[in-house]
Amino acid sequence: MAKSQSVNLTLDTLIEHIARGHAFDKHVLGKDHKPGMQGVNAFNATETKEYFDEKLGRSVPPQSLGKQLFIETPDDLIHYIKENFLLSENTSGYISVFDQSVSLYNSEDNVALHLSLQNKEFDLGTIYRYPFTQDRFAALKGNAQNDADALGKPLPVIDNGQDPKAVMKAISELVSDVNANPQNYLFNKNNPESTVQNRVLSNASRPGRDWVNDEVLHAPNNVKGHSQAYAKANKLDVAPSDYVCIKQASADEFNVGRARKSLRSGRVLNAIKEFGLDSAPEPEPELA
Amino acid sequence: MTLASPTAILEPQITLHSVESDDVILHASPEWKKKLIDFLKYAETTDDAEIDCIANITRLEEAREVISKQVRSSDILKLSKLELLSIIPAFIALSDYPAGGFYDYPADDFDRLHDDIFDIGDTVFEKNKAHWSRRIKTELSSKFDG
Repeated sequence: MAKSQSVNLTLDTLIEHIARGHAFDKHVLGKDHKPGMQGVNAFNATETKEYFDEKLGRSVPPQSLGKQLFIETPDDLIHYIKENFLLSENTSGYISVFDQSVSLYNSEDNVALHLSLQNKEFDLGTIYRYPFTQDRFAALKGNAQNDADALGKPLPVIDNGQDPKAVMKAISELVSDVNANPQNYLFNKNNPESTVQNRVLSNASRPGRDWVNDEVLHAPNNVKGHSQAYAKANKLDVAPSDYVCIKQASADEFNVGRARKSLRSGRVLNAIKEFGLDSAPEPEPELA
Repeated sequence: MTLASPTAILEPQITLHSVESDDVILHASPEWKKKLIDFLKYAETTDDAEIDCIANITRLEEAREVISKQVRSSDILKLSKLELLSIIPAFIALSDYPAGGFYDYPADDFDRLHDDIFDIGDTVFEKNKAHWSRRIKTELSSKFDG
């Protein structure tokens, strides 16, 4: 059994991990293997791309994703989750009786969010939308209900439509329990030496990803700031000079990451591991 | 209108034999038990990061080990209801891939296993069916048969 260690997971950290993790690559940048979603920003587009299905031998026409959400940057996605998705009266979901993971669906935006504290990307969950997200979520909820029935337990159901604070309350309780009992959530039960906690939560400077290949491979995930479209659509108090163009900002991040990588020695690498990327490097001793 | 692929495997390959208390007894040949094991391994290890956000990988591994122990025994496969429930989310998670969308898994095997497991699930858990559409459209695909 892994030793219990103190952790300091917060709602903000949790959301930031998801919004800057694989979900941003896959569903905002469109790095999705599914043919109709390749290159599609699922939170900005309103429908999938037409594509030719070789197995069916025909073209598959575009399918509806939902209304335009204007999300382009990680901070747009963070704001959407925190200020729209989690607070919306159209968001509902359930808590798994097996691992207490929280699954949510917003019927107005056709967006699903799963908090999964042990996923292999170490980014604590996912958020997505596909044409069949509503049906998929209903099927998963039905399966969770059958799980609960099989164990003779009630399925905890959350619905902001019934209680406007229901979703936030459920997530706050989950976060509190993770902090109180990290061994139940953040460690691989089959691996007593698991370091899930360290790989994820100690990586404060780069939330949501394993830091080793982070700066170059995931430059867009590190971009800070809101896009013009999202800021305007959500009436955010952002000065026009602070609007972020994700393509340009990604290129800047990529160059910074590449420069950092090329400058690293083994010693610098260890210092970054220990102190993070933003700390000042230890000065070299002066030669006598 | 959706036309099924001419290569679709039209006959169910894993079917329900009976339900005994908390156990589900299935008919499955060693070949299809192996295919089910291969699918579960694929779901556990695929680089699609979404899968283990939706399906509990530990539960998938446990179910796969139970099936592995029975792979050569006979044409019967015995699972608990909870083991059957543990593998269903993997099929739900991967069903977002359209018919020709798999690039690293045999799509025909997936379609057959998907439909068989949901047929079984809907019978076993009749009170709370998944209402999940099947991937093989048998009425239309029967036109390719013979």
